[in-house]
Amino acid sequence: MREKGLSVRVYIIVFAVLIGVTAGELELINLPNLARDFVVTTLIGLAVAKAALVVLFFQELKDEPRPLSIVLVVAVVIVTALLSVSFLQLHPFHT
Amino acid sequence: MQISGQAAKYWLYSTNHKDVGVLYTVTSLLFFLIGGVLALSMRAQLANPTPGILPTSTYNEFVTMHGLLMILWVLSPLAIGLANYFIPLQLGARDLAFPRLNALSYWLYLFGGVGMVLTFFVGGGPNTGWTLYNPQTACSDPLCAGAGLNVATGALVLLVASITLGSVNFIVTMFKMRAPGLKFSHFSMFPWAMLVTVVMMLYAFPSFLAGLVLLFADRTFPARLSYLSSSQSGNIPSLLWDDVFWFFGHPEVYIVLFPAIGVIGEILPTFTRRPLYGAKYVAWSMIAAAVLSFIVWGHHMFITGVSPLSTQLFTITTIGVSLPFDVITISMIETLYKAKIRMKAPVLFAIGAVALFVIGGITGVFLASIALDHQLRGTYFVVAHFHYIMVGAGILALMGGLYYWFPKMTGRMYNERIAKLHFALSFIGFNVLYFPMFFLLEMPRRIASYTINTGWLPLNQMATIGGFIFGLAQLLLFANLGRSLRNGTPAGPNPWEGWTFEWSTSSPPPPENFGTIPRVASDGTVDFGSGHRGSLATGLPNGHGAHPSHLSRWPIIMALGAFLFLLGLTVSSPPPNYFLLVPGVVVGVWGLTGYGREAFVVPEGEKTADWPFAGIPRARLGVWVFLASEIIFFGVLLGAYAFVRTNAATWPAINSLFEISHGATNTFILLASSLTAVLALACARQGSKSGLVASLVGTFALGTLFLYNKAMEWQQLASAPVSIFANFPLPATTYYITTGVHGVHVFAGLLMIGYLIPNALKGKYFGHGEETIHHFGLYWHFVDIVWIFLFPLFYLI
Repeated sequence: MREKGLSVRVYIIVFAVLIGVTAGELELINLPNLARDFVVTTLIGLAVAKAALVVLFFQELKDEPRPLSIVLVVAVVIVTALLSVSFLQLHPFHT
Repeated sequence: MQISGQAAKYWLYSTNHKDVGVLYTVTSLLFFLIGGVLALSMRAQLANPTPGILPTSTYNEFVTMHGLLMILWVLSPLAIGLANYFIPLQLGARDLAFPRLNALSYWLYLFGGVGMVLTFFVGGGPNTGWTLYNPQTACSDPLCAGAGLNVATGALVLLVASITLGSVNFIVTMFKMRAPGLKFSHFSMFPWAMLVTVVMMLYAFPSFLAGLVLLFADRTFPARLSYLSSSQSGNIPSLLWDDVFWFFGHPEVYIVLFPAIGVIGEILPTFTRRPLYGAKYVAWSMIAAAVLSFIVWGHHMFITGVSPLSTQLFTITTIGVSLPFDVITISMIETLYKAKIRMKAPVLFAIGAVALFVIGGITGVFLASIALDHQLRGTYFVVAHFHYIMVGAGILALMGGLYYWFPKMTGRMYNERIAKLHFALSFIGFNVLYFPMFFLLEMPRRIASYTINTGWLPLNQMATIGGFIFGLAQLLLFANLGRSLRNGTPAGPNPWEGWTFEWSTSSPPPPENFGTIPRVASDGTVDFGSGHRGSLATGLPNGHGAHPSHLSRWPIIMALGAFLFLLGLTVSSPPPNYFLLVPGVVVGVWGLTGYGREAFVVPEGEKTADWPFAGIPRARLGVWVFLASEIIFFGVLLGAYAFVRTNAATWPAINSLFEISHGATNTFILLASSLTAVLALACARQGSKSGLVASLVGTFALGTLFLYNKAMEWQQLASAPVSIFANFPLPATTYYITTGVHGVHVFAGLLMIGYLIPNALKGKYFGHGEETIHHFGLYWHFVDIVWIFLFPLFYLI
């Protein structure tokens, strides 16, 4: 039936995973005795994972030519570099 | 001169790349006149120490407006004008990939410029310097007296929108619409330079846009000075603007410069009759400089007290970025070395630009040194340095480009003698104007007066004389080109015996550029069809045949709507002004609807060279490229939030201010809407009309539910007994701004679905039509992804 793109089944599985991870995020913040840094890092990591699922499967980036990924990765790298260096510049103020 | 109704309609509605190029060029020259008058007023002021002809406040407004207009409304747009006209010709294409979007870019640019000049009449122009530094932009007055800077912010937003759309258009055109067989290795220098330029624009300007959003929030939200000012958050957030601005601002220098290098790279080979020396390395050098330009912005912040480690790193990268320019300069000098140069005006301007670029470049390296930067920062040495780059290299080269391509654009030759006089006076005037400034090592920039015992008077008077020579010389340009437009001798198709595609068609080129799209063979020879085969310089294809209409009224209407909307949002104190805002929305939605419904035929070439994006349709590539800019925009907004939050003394505990239930509910809603959006695509592919309509309606319903839930949450926070802005100014401002901007994106998505559903009911989105659903899905999923990050950042952490 399907000529191109992913099957509906794959879309529903991805959606289920996204819902499951979101539920996991809600559970995570209620777990006792977790270090705040761990919680923050895990939550951001889970958000990155969810975003990757949406990009790869719903936006179907995995089926696009590889150079297209570079266009987006460059944007992510640029904004990450900006933020990282911005925080690095302020180092003396933290001490 | 009278313009008939038909002619006026043509210029208002034309989407042809050549017409839009002419509009850009003429408009940028008009802004050049305005910026020039402001500059001469400042020079007249400084010719005497005191009293001056301008009050200090007016002087500050002139300084600011001069910088903003010349950098953002003259230099880049003049290059974009030439690129609009010549890039499709040089690629062997019939037009840009999205002609109406191109016209929209121009009208947004024009209305943005009108808004910027308008600030003089609505509370005073911005008086902060073009860098818009905080705290000069801070507004602690409850009514934020003087809406000029607010209006300027709106004008800049229009400009950034114009540039972003233009970047997407050029990138897609250059990757998808090259003549068959035309590889990047066949590119001459102007297409290379513009490719690097528009890619830089795509990645640099969203940071500026995000900064403008923060600036607007700081000046108008109930809790003022949240993001950018130090008054509430210690010293740390006060550097936020510097980072966001210069992350855009330094690449902007090269965005301005690269087209000039590209123009020089076209002119020198033509007038020396030899290829550009090491052309391949010039192209690679521009790419290297572009990459490095994104990691040198910190050298603008050496004296702000940032970490010594970061200043050392930025010193290294700043010295490093000069190396590619060494390669470029050596290439140009080698091309000229012992060449039999035809000394026409374009090449004089090109040589002059190279010479001035050397001076500007070397003095720039001085500023990479932390020790020297501490002494020279904020002095007239810096003013001299960047004018040698921006005006000496940038403007002079682009003027050379104007003379070079004027015969192609008009079919007429300009007056060579006047053009040479223009060059001589410009070159002499420029150096008399700016070279003395290198010796004003202790004179601060942006001061309206000084005392006689400083010893600055003679050098200032010399600079003023140079300024008037340079300024008045530009009148020769206008007189020459204006007169030649009617009375110049016919130019013929290739008066300079150039080698690039544009010289192979008539002057001016026909609407479709070429009768038959040229084909480039692997050996570099070109086939123009009809058995006519030869070098680029000899082909004479005819593109005067039948062609679709290039006219569309919707771009100008959409731009007008955006202008009125932003004016309404900014012009009143306090904002908004509903008498402008509401018509702006109505006109904008009317324009958007008309744009979507219009059956506009985009001039198509034949099978084009489209490496490395073969297999991706043109419009889909455009959406992806646009989303790349959105990544940076939202990334900077979220980064600003993180910046403010990590440095705030206190922050409300989880679930105390922003209820997790609201955020979680909206997360599930948006994730579900992403599923229905992707199911819509699946149904379109499977030819299921009912499934498609149901999926789109479901997406619309879920999106609406998201906004309703968000509105309820906003209302709940706003109606709390104790004002959220009074008690939690930083959380409140960052929350409303970030979720608000996201909400606007959701609303835009709903408008798209509102357009898609009726067409889906008519069965439009099957076969090739499914691409439209795919484009919508790409956008909608992106909006979903943004929320995926907002949810933990605001509700769970």
